[in-house]
Amino acid sequence: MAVGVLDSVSRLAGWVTGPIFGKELRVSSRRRRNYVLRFFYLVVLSVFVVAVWGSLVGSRGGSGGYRVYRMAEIGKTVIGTIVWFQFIALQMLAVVMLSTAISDEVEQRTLAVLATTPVRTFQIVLGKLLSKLLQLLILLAISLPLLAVVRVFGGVPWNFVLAGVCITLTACMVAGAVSMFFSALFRRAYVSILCCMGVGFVLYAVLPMILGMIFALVAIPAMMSRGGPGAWLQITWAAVSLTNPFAVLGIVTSGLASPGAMPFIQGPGFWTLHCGIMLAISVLALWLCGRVVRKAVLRAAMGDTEGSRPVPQAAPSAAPLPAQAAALPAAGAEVVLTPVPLPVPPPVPLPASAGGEIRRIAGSPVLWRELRVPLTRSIVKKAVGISLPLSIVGLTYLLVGLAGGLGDRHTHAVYVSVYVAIGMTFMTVLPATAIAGEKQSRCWPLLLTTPLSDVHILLAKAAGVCRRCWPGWFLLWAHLVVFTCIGLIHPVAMVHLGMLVTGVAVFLTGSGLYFSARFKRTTPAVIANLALAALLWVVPPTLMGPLGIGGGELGRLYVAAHPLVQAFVVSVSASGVQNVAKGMAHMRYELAWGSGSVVDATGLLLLAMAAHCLAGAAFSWRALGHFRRRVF
Amino acid sequence: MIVTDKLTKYYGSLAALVDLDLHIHPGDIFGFIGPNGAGKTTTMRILATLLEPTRGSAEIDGKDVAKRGKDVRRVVGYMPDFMGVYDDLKVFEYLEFFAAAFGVARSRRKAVIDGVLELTDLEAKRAMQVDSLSRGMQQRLQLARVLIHDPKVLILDEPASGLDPRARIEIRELLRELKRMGKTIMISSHILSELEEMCDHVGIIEHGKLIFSGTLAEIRQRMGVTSKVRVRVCGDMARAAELLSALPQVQAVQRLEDRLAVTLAEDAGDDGLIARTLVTAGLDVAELVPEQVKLDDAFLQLTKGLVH
Repeated sequence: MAVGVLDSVSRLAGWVTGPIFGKELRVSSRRRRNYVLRFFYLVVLSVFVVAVWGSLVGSRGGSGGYRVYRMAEIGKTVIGTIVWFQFIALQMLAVVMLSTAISDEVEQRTLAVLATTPVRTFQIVLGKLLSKLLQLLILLAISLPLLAVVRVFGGVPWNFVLAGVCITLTACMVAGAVSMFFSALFRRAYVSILCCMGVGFVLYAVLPMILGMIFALVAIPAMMSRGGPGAWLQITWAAVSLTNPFAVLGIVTSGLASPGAMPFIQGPGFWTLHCGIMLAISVLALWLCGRVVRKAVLRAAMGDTEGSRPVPQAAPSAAPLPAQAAALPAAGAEVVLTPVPLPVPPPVPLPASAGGEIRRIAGSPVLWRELRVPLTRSIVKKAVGISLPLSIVGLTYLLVGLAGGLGDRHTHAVYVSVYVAIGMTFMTVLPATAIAGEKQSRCWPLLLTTPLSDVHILLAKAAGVCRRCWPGWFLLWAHLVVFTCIGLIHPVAMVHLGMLVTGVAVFLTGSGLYFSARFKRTTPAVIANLALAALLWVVPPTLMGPLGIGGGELGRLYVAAHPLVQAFVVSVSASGVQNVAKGMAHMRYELAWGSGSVVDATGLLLLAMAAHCLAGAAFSWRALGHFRRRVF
Repeated sequence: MIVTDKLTKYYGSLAALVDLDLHIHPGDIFGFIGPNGAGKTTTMRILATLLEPTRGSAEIDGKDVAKRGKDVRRVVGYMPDFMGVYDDLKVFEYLEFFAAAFGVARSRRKAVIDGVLELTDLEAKRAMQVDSLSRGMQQRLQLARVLIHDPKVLILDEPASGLDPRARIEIRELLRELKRMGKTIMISSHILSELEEMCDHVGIIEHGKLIFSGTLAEIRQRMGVTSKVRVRVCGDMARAAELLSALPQVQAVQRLEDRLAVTLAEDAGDDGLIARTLVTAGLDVAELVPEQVKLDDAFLQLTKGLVH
């Protein structure tokens, strides 16, 4: 009986996931990178836990009972660290792993082959998602020994671990489904990754912020006047909390530190409800994904391998060579071609897209192409790409303005820091695609067989990167220009931020071009540059607190050189009604070693810019060394 | 025009090319033949300055490809065995991009592009997006790109692969025309009959080693057989066989169903000997078809089917 049930379940699971699941598992088990990933995941997690542990157990003394109590508290903190690490790392990995799920099938032309089999779309989608989730489960499983080690010291709340695992897995499902959705829409994996990051940022950060502002603006006055906020606001707020895994895990973690403080939302009912909602969201995302994949399958079956947009079908290559074609003007000699004895087919009318403006090339061809080629040809993508961020940003300005926060220097510091982070994200991703993209489209060898020098190509590519990244910096400069004109930001902030942006841009362009020259495909190049940026600017701040090096010389030096810290300090000191009114001579900058004048801040920024530029130049030089390696 | 001396290339421990010696004369069409993985593409990539040899040297137009890469690139037009197209450019823009990259003066570019577009019959597609062209059209575009800077040497890696018969014939005619224009052409292909029709010289490579290089006549000579003739006579076949067997220029006569297969010796020389002999003996010759050794036969006999 039991065997029969198991067999039925197994057959049902096999039918749901289809052959894709098995194929994905087989392929992933043969890929060395998966084993390397597991190794590094465990190493980074261990380092993280040891760092936290070391910083917490540093202080000794007290009675035996106190020490036992303290060990239990430390155990809880370490468990919290592990759960949060897994929560963030696994979501990022889910996005990266599934960013190529469909686009790779399109590029390798296997989707067209799949279209000729009875495999259903949902089997493709589920097979891909579940196989990657299994990889993530393995990563979760290999960290279990660490939890066991911590348990020796007591105080491991297993209900918290269970909640963390469930929240992480459902968040990964949503992130993976969204990533797969974009991978069916876009050919390049980094575009899918960027879109996922954008969606995550909007859903998990911007939306709660906007709702928070609305809550502050509407609900609190309503509470004051009518005795309670509107019901719709409470529902919206609850919905946002329940659909935000960061918020839910934060609430569950707070229950770890102070149990019983919020009995309803800290209990299992809350996070279970959240997991159910996230599962429903992932089902919705998978359904949407399935629809997009079905279209991609149909396109592939019709021979279009472009994946992202319809390509006009060309007229068949039936026309023969002309009987009397002119000789090449450059050849010098007059040549008469021999007529080809083939029947001439009737002329085929050109498609509507055959016409259009032809742009002439002036100056360096590589530079011309980098500067003139449109960022996207799709009008819909252009419209969405411009209007959506501007609407969201505009809404935040409106709400902040209504709350009277535009005159506050901290408001500008937050805006500037966020915009610098957005610009840095663009600068991290796009340079890494400059050369690898050419390799992927197989144009790189053709470019290398021209007499153009490698330095010329590199400089043209760097110029192209700057051009492509302008949308990333647009919000920053628009904010600075508008509020400088209004008189809420001092012009010196533009000079300082110009230095900061220049240094970061040169550094990230150099490193991006280096990785782009090293790798054959854009995705590993982008991931490498993202990893470098994370290693430089995300991981150290996360570890600095637990390691306790923030206050030392090294820590101060690091904080002083951190672009986001610099952006915050520069803008908080040179913006707001009071600061602008004080004038440049009286502005004080909270630098890492204490308060400084505008000259001190300028000196620091110049130094940081020079260091970044030098490092960027070194990366570029190394990129040149890899230009003619691994061309194919 | 193209000379390689003990050209060797290793990928790790794998020998892709071993001591390759080639001599291709100016104005020749040189057919490069070999099984998959024999080293043809590696040789061409070295000559196109995309790979550096592990050992040995290669010169094009007297310039060392490893030491004077930039000078070599000016005189070489390389068409790889894949299609590299910028998906955001139109046909004219794509060609102008490469014209500018090869340093063709801006004032001359339009005329040059018009010329190559006409030569490759792509005039009607000049305003189309490159990535919307069919495979055959993209192949033509690649050929147009290769010609854009009027190179002395063309290195074409399987230019006709994946094309329909009409497009293949057109490419063949175009290459003949380019030969008449004085270009030196090195071409690799798996369609041996096509190479046979247009090549002056062929090189057969296997397992990274050149196992033969020379003209088609030299291949026949090396194989020890010049030609075969199939003969059909109206009348006594046995007598005809007897008469032909007695000739010193004939190596063997084989009786087939309704005709004779006559194998001539290497130095048979006189082409009219068989017909004259039969007619003189009073036999009416209904059919006389010379059958030369095909490149396919030579390829099969010379190579062992070894691949990496």
